[in-house]
Amino acid sequence: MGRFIIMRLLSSVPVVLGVVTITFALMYLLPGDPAASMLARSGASSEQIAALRVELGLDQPLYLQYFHYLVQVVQGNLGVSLASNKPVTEMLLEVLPKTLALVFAALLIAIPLGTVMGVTAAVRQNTLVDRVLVGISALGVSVPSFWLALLLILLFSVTLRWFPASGQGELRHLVLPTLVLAFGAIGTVARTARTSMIDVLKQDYIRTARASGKSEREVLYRHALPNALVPVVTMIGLQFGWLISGSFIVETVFSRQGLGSMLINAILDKDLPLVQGAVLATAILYVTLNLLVDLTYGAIDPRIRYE
Amino acid sequence: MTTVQATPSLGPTRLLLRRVLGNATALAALATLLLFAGIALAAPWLAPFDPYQVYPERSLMPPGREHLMGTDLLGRDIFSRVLYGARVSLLIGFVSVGISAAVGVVLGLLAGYYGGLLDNLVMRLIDTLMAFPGILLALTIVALLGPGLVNVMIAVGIGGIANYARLVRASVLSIKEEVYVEAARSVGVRDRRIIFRHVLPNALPPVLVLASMSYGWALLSAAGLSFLGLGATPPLAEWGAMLSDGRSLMWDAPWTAIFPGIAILCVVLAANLLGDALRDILDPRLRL
Amino acid sequence: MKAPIKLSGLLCAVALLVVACSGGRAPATSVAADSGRLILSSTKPGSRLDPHLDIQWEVLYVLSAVYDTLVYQDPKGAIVPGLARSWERSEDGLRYRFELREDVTFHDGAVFDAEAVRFNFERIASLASRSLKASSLLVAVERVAVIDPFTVDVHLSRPDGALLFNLSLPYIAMVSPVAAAAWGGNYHLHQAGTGPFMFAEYRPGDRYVLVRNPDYSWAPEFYQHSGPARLETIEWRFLPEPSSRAPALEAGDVDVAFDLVPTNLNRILESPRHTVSTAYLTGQPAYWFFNTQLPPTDDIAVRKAVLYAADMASGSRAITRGVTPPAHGPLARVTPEYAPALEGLYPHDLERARRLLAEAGWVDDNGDGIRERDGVPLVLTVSMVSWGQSIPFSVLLQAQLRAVGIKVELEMMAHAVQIEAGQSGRKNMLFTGSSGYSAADSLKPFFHSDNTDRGFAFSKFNDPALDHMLDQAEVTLDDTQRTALYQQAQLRIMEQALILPIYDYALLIGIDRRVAGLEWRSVGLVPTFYQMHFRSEVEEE
Repeated sequence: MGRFIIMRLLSSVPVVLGVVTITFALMYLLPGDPAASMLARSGASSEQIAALRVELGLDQPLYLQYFHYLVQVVQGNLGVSLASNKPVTEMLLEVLPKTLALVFAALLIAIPLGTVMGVTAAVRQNTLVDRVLVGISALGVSVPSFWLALLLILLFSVTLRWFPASGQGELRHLVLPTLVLAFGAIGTVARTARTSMIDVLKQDYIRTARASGKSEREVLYRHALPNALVPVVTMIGLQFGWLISGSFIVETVFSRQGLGSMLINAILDKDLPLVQGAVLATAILYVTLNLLVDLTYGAIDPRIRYE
Repeated sequence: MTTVQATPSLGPTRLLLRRVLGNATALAALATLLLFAGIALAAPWLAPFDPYQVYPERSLMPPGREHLMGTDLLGRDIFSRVLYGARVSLLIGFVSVGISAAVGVVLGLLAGYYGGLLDNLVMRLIDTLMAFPGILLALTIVALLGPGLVNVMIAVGIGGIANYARLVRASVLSIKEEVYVEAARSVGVRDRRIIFRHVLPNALPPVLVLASMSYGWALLSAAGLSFLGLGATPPLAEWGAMLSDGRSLMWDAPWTAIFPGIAILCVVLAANLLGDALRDILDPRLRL
Repeated sequence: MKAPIKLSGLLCAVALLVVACSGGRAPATSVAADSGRLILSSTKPGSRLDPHLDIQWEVLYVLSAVYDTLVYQDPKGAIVPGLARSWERSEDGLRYRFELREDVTFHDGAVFDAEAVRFNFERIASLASRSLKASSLLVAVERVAVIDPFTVDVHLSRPDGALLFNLSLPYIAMVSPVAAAAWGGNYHLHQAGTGPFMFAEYRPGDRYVLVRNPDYSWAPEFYQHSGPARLETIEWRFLPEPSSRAPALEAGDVDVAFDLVPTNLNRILESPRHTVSTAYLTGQPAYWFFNTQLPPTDDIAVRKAVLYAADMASGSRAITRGVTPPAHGPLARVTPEYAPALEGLYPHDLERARRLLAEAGWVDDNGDGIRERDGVPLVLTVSMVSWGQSIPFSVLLQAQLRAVGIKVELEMMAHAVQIEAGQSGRKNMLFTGSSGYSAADSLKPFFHSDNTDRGFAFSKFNDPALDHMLDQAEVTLDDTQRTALYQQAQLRIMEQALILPIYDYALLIGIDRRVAGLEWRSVGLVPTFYQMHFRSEVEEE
């Protein structure tokens, strides 16, 4: 067990290092002088630009700059946003809980609902119910979330006035964004659950159970379901990826504060330190969530081992 | 991941085609895609208006006989723009999937076939790319390259590489163990010949499945980027960008956002369904 | 998305506003200090908000209720006493002496006196380039001297006709020296002013809450009541997505919604519970600079042809539903120094545009619909920005110029990139919308040849005549003379076709009919929170 944890932890080190390298590279791959582009908005003189170059260490060799960047990142110092003059780390910490709230809310809806849909479809394979449920889950992965969001706003905010179209702070503000985000995830969860349940139902031990005269209900829920759930549970880590990425667009459409809307604004503003920070934070968040998910399984299910 | 055996007698393409035609969902999906491809090609003849001509005096007319889908803020005919939009959106999908597949296949082949340090390096790169969930990688690349249609294709293309590389590498690893590959190696056939004659053809069918399944994703991502103002730039008729224009008009002129969305949904749904069907036909065990 | 910048563009604009508002006047008697929580919505969650540092709308909207200024502008634009009871200017215009009120205390209990004034001027000066607006308003100030506890002298390095105007802006708010010194970099979370409302709560990204200052007894005289403000609480909610504000108003989530989108108005206009008022902003309208040094816009014939060929008025009718008036020059029509002579200078006239181009040698030789000269096609590179109405107007321009054989290449630009492009001069036309304040601040930084390389004079037009007018106007203390000089400058700018004017900014405000007293102090688009209140049953009729 301990070995598993250590190996799993070690395996994320190169990934995190890779992510940091990519965000570092962002600054140097951009055309033009980073110092000049940082000061462009204040109309600075060439002396000020030169001074900033020294301040940022841009006059030093690349490997030294890279090393400094690493040290800064490890210390949690991600620089200062060009647009707001606030420390990037502070800004990220401010919005992180808001994105997490949205992601977890969607996950809490998507996993149970998707599982029920998938299992129901599998049990009634090739019936009308199955087709409808499969159709819904196909829609879930295909519908553009930004469009679905607009439709829900039109229906629930504009026409029915049940839920507000934007804002945050209260639970009712979370309803529509969560629905949109969950809808895509429900599709994936339902498909996985369905495939997995169908597989399990073909297994010998299910046949044995049936042959032994147990009720269909008991066979399905006592014997088949727990086994069918394993792939669903193992895909939670992957779901985080979908949900985090989906939250970017959802946050923007519903004018919610969060990592995604902050990143997109930063990209539009060419606020480089904030872009770097938000990209880094998102990737590390994703890696960490996956790590936690894996470690939890490791603890729960002794069959899962590193590699 | 699993391998797919080369089909001995019947040509794989014809077999595939026959199976697709026999599957109702796949057929419908294929027909939808062909329909949109047809629309894309024939847009200049089908469109009742020039999609770029502005008529300020016809601003925001609701759908009606003259303007089937209404007009936008500048009085442009939305129906014509949706038709022309098929050209842009379908192309974005093809190009970005092409980029993902080409780079991913090469990386996967090299890593899987040669193994060792190269494999290690490629896999670390892939792991790193996978740490950027969904459109984050594409967003990052757009941040770097700046907004624009070409940049979006590159960004979405790069965003999809990791999946292909992993898939192909896994296929190659098991193909490499096949008797005929071992045999070819032992008699000193050159690597390049082995790769092109034996490994690549057998690794391709799952790539085809992945390509068709990721086509929808690519199109959605690109439309999403345009929606966020990071993709197609005005006045280009692109579905995501049209939706973005329509967003602030939802309140008074919902048609500006509804129709481009339906177009995106149709194509993505068709591509996903076709991908599912292809997977079932080619290799039901393939979990993608 | 870009509501934030748009707003700063818009609001930074100083403004005047002629509000066709349903203003139920407060009963002329006095302090009906009723209770009530007013909920308003506006755009962007603020960042580090400090009136001396920031330029964001909150300074004008939220903080204007928290602070007072040395002088005020009354609703007609006249400078009237604020925290300064009176003032006098020296003969040479280089020294202003302010006599201060002696009954004013800050929210934190500190006394407002001459030392406090000096502290504020010095604080702004020390912030230097970190101050996005305040320090630029005080460039002419050399030093401040305390004469006695309630008298200060402001010494200038040159006469400055706009000084009092600038001092009336909320950017030159008087902050408590005690709180500012105590909190340093975190002052924005612990603000203390002398205004009618006190800073009670600030939840970043969510809301500001202001509560009534019970001790307030120094309101400027143009208000119809004195003593504390009439509202008990003002709550600001952030609704960054512009199209969500009208629904919030309609649903009763907010009482007043600022900056509505013109295409969202239908339902509000139909609603019996709401009114919509429009405020027209002074200073810069939206316009494109022509780069006079980059071909082909170095050719005045091309610039004039564009002015004749573009029909931005038709754009205003469609894009902003006629809410924004078409612009005619570098100043909006409601600016006192506006030159009416500009109107009709460039009527929409396609034939004339074509003739000008043909005479200048631009002819379509190869039949592709685009004119050429010496084999070079007539292509203009034009910037778009993501805020305001830049995108639809750019697309409109592109379509309209195509009709006379000019090809327009559009490029989306972030704010910083656009400034860089303007300074390096690599675009033919640059969209601008970040308005200045007074006529002085709206013209000199954008047209004087001193500002062509480092500043914002993106036309890059080096013209001693224009420079002279702008320099003279700045130090002219006589209003009539100064106005005449600025009008000459506007004519010069348009005769040389340095810009393509688009539209004057207008701000739409949706108001619940129960809310009364929303007017504007003529400057800076500062709402009169002090007198706002909810109508009583009786008043409501």
